[in-house]
Amino acid sequence: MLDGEEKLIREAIAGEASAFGLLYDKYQPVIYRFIYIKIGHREEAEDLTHQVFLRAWENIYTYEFRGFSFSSWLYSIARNKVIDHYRTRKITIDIESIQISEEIKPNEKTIDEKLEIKKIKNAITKLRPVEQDVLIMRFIEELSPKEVAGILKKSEGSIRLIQHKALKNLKKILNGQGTD
Amino acid sequence: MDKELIKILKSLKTVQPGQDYSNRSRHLILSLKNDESFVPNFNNDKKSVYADYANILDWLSFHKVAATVGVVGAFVLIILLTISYLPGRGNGLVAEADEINSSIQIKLDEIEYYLNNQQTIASSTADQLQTLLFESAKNLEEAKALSASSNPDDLSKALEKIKTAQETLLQINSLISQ
Repeated sequence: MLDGEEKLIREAIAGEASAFGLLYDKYQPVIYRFIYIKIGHREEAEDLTHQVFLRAWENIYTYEFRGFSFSSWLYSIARNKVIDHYRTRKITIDIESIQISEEIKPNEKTIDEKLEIKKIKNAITKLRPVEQDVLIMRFIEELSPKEVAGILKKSEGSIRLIQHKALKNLKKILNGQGTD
Repeated sequence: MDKELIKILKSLKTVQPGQDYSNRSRHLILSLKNDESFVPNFNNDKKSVYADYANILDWLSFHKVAATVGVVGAFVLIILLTISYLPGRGNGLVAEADEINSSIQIKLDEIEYYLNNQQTIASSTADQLQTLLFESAKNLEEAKALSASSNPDDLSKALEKIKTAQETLLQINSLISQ
């Protein structure tokens, strides 16, 4: 838990919209990225991210300080939303149609780099959900194995194992082979 | 290759939501608090749904595109819905009903947002909007009546009614975003 964050959460639980607004500013990009990389569709990711924060605001009184970070609570809502999304809509993603340039901040990436990123994003959507979660949290959000273990309610050992398999499978997908 | 792969994975951190979308979503979520009836807890979720209906009908009334009597009628009807159209806790339908409830809330927020950003609206469209809002409110009212029953079949029917109300809201959404 970051300095001041617990205070913000307590204020939000007490109904302070401005406090929840600050939490939204901090975590909305993270949750959006998590959802977008998992489902590969901008509008759907926007809709689901909106739903995650709406759900969080409406149910913030249920959040308890029990050693889990606020982000892990948001991640768990987001994971459930993504599961529901696939269960109810059965959407097939056409990741090739996604305009990468709209999603990646213009920080002077070359075309080759953009293509690499696009390939990787496409490959990630083909991994098992838990492998996607681990790769996103470990390498994109740079969380520690302990933090990821807390969020996914697994041991650190199994997170390392999943991470190893996820990287292996990602390489296989990129090389045009199947996964384990 | 792992290092290269990890390097590319790290570069995905540059994926960001659009600023317009973020501002709009933030505003919609936080504006729930401006609704005096909103208190972020389960029992009051339905109150904010009700308040959103009222806001939409207020907009129609303010722009004088719907008959005042009709607006008042809708207002009263929605008050009659009270705040408990969802089946009670403790059964398997609750999670689904809760999910739909969130979706209804979002749709109402979106409709309100669209209307607040419309300068004019054709009176025929306003009539259609009002009819659809009545339909949606009627289904929620019927769902409420059914949910009072202890019969599991009635609870399933209540859920169907809620789903129909949700679909009507989607129709409204597409009507005003044309």
